[in-house]
Amino acid sequence: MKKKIKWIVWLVLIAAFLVWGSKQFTVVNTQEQTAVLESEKFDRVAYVDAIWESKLLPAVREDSKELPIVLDAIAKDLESSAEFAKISVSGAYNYRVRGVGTVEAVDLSKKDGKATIRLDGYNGNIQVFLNIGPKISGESIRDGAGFIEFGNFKDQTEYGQVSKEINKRVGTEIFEKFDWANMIGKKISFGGMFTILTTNQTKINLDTVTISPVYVEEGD
Amino acid sequence: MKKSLLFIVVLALVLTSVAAVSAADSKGLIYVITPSHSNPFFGSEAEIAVAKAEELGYTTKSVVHDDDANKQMELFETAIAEGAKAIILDNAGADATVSAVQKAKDAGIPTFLIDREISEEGIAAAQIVSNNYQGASMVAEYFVELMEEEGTYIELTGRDTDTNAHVRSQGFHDVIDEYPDMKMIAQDTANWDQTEAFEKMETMLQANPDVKGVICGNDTMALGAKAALDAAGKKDVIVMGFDGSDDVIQSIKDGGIKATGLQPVAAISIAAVEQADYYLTNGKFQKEEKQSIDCVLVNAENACMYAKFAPIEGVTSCK
Repeated sequence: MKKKIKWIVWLVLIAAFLVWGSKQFTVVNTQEQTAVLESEKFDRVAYVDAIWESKLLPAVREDSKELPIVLDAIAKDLESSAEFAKISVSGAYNYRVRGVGTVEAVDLSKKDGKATIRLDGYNGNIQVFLNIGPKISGESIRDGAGFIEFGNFKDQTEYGQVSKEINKRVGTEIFEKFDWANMIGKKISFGGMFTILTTNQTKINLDTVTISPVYVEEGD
Repeated sequence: MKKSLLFIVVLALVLTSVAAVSAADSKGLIYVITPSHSNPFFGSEAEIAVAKAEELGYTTKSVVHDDDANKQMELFETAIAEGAKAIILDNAGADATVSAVQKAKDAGIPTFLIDREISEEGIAAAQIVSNNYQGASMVAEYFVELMEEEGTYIELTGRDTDTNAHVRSQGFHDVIDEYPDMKMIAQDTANWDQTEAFEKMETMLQANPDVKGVICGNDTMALGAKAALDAAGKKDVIVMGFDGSDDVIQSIKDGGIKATGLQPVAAISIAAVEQADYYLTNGKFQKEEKQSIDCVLVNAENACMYAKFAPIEGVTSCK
């Protein structure tokens, strides 16, 4: 009799535990788990698709500064140009600009090709370069866009991948749009971003600016 | 005998009252909690934070959690018990740290994270993160350039449980994998450790004697790998690291290691203490919670301009 009671007590305990346990944990098979992880994975292409036409192009075409004005301010001193810049926590000055100029030289010897631009309406000494791809480095476009913030992303990897995806798209598009070797002497209009780094720099470079363009068009 | 005893008692009383007065002068206690200082990176960040806090009038305690989340929790409990005003923390794991920071927050103590981020927002007062992804991408771009976009390479990764080991590796590969002629022939962890990197490199070299480059998740592993390569007579192999430690900067100056991503340790530690002071003085946060500070590429062209994870004032050329 005693043994029987002992058994019943055990069974009740086990049953109670199972009921409690089923409420504590959700059973997920590994296939479902993988699917969940995949869907949570950051889709950088989708993110950039979503901002490209609706936000990024308008920010550069309609809400950017005339490059000669910005360069004149920088030539005075960096602080004078602060009103045109989005200054990051890292102390980087990010500018969103547009301009018209003539292609003076083109260097395609490396993957990060560059064009030297003689800027219309500017007589200062700052040398202007344009990144023409196919590879574009840095974070100028992301950080100069004005609406892509670190805090909006899960971590620095996602934040960094957005920049890479934008650069990739711009790099391919701008590089393929023209036969750059034959663009010397031609007039172009462009809009894009550039950055002047200050934190941990031993010398702040105010002699040259290199613009990562979001658009480049022939003519003015 | 009695006289000398009296003297000691009086002296003790005087010293105690002096200590009490100086404690009363202090703006309060700031706890600085980091990984072990055996890695100079963490030693520097703690040292700089302590110096800044003391300059601003705080007393400080600098302790290490040895990348052990349990030990970190104990240190937080001690800090809370001792009535710390703020905690500056380089944490022991993105997920494991959340509860410790929450506990401090519940006790009314703000935590200012430096270097590494945690997986939740709204708990820490600030997350001033060294942008490892940006830094790793930058190192990788230079690595590809020196490799002339082709050839075989080995990657040594950091400790698997450390978020930054993965972030850096991801940063490397998001750049390198775009180049089809760059071939990774081996990848292994050396757990951030110099000796382990030396031994792993020795073994890997036997299977891959013709490797052209080695990219490492931190500087201590780069030093270990470089020593193994030199010992095997392979001085031309391109080695790069990450952190910007003085040892690697010296190696770069000597023509050994080719480059490293210098983490903005000094800038981050100072910013964290200044923001803690701002909060304690004004009762509100100075900046948004998540702040990313960029790394700098250090190579033969600028190595002479950096020491102790910061630019050397007044040095603007290596020529």
